[in-house]
Amino acid sequence: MTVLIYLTGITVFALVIYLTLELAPTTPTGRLAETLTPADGFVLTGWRKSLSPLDKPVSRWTPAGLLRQTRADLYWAQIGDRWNEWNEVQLTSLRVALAVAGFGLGMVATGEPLFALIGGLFGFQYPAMVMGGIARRYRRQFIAQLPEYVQLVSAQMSANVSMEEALRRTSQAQSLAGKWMRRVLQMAQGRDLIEQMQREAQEAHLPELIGMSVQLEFIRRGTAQQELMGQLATSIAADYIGSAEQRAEKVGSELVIPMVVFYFLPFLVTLLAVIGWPIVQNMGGM
Amino acid sequence: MTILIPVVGLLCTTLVLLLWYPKPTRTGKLADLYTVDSARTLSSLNQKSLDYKLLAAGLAMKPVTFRLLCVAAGIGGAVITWLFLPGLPAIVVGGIVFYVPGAWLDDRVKSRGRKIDQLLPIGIGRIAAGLLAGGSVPDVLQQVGESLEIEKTNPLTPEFVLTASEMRIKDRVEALRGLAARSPSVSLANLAQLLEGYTEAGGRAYTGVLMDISMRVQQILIARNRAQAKAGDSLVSAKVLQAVLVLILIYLSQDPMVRASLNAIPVQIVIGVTMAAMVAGYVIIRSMIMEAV
Repeated sequence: MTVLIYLTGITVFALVIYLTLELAPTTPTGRLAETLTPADGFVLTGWRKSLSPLDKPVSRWTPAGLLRQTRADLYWAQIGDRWNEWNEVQLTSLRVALAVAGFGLGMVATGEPLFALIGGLFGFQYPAMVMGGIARRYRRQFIAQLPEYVQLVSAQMSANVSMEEALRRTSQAQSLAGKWMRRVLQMAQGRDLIEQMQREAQEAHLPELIGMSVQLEFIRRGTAQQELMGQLATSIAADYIGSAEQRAEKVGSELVIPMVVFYFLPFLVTLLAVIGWPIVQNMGGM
Repeated sequence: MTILIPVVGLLCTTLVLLLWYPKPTRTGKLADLYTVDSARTLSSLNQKSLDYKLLAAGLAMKPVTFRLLCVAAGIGGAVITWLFLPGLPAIVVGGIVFYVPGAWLDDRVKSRGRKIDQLLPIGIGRIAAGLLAGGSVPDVLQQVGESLEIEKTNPLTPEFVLTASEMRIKDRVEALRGLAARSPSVSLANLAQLLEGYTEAGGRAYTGVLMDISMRVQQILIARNRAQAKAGDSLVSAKVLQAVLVLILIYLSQDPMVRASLNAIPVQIVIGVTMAAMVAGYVIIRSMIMEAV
């Protein structure tokens, strides 16, 4: 009976949303257009199509900070060719849908609101955890490879090559930084390269990249470009060397949660099971 | 005990195949891993194929032999564990032993790039010094490769030697781009691009710049290697805990009541899940450490 109360509540809530909110029009316009119809006219399929009715309420009610963070994570996941063609609103819709599914499943399976809430929370966090993990991996790879990439640009400029040409040449590098630069060059067709780089840096939400693109703008305006580029390369290398040591120190604290989840808890449970089982059996025999 | 007979037979067959299976090229120990021939063959293979992984890891065996070895190891591990701890834990151990060679192979392939990164600071220093002294790029690469080989067998030497020989017989820029394309290390690919710039700039006037940039790249690589080594210390506790659990279980199993509980289904499920969790945890923690810096 309790389950029915929750189900009725969910249904009423869904009905209120359905009646109160304007449904997504067949031909989307305004802010919603970008979400529902990608620039290349690609038709939504699969999960994204099924979740598209959620996109409008999600884009209206989700806090801007959360959407910005999701957009930055998606940016890096897409640099690694994962979660392609998804945008922040669609991913948040997926999270909301999985949260409702997790809550519903928890209620049906256990009938306890607490477990249902845990199920809902897990459903909400799971896509973000998966996508965030991929984004973190590529972001770190990029940060690690950026200093060497800047050295290459500096080397090219030292051979009397212009900054734009140096960036074009070094974009052929195998590194993630080279791949990022190829993306910037592709997006900068008919636009200013450094301004496009700044836009991409802001999208990427990466301080190192924002700092570099701003400095490149200054260098472009300056007269002694080669020397300034050399100084930038030196300072980026020095920053990286300093921060590498710090990150190595931080690894220990980052490993606490996996150590507890994968080692200490199973370790304790195993010991308790092995030692406690004979006691449980004896108590059952009495 | 009779179950051991087919297992021993299977293991013997695998061993015979491993030792006497006809090989396409003559190889001995791990030496072939770091020969120029290997470097050339590697560049023609798909990097995700098992052929590539085996060659890059220095294992002179066919993919079919490797797969057979994995299956035999899995069955062997399960059967041996069954003798001491029958039931689910034995099956989990079998699964883990089947999975471990593949994971080890992937790690060996990745470690080729890491080994190159470890040696690259020394290599860059010698290349910069050689070019500053007036040597040509192919000669310097050849000499640096050979000098590294004197100290110990390494994966950087065949890359340098192959590039040097290619630079002599075909277009220099193309040879350096080939090095960048087949390189398992991003830093080595960057070095190739740096040398390409040096070659295009005409050499001499560029030597001072190359020295400065080489020094900075050298410092970056040294800092990264040092930080990675430091981060790797955290992995020790992950290894130790697994051994501690096994030792405690062995010690506790001396008690007849505990030994009897090891055969109970719920306890076996707990042990099996714990084993799987620890292996998964090890893989996750290791990847976190590798990606940290």
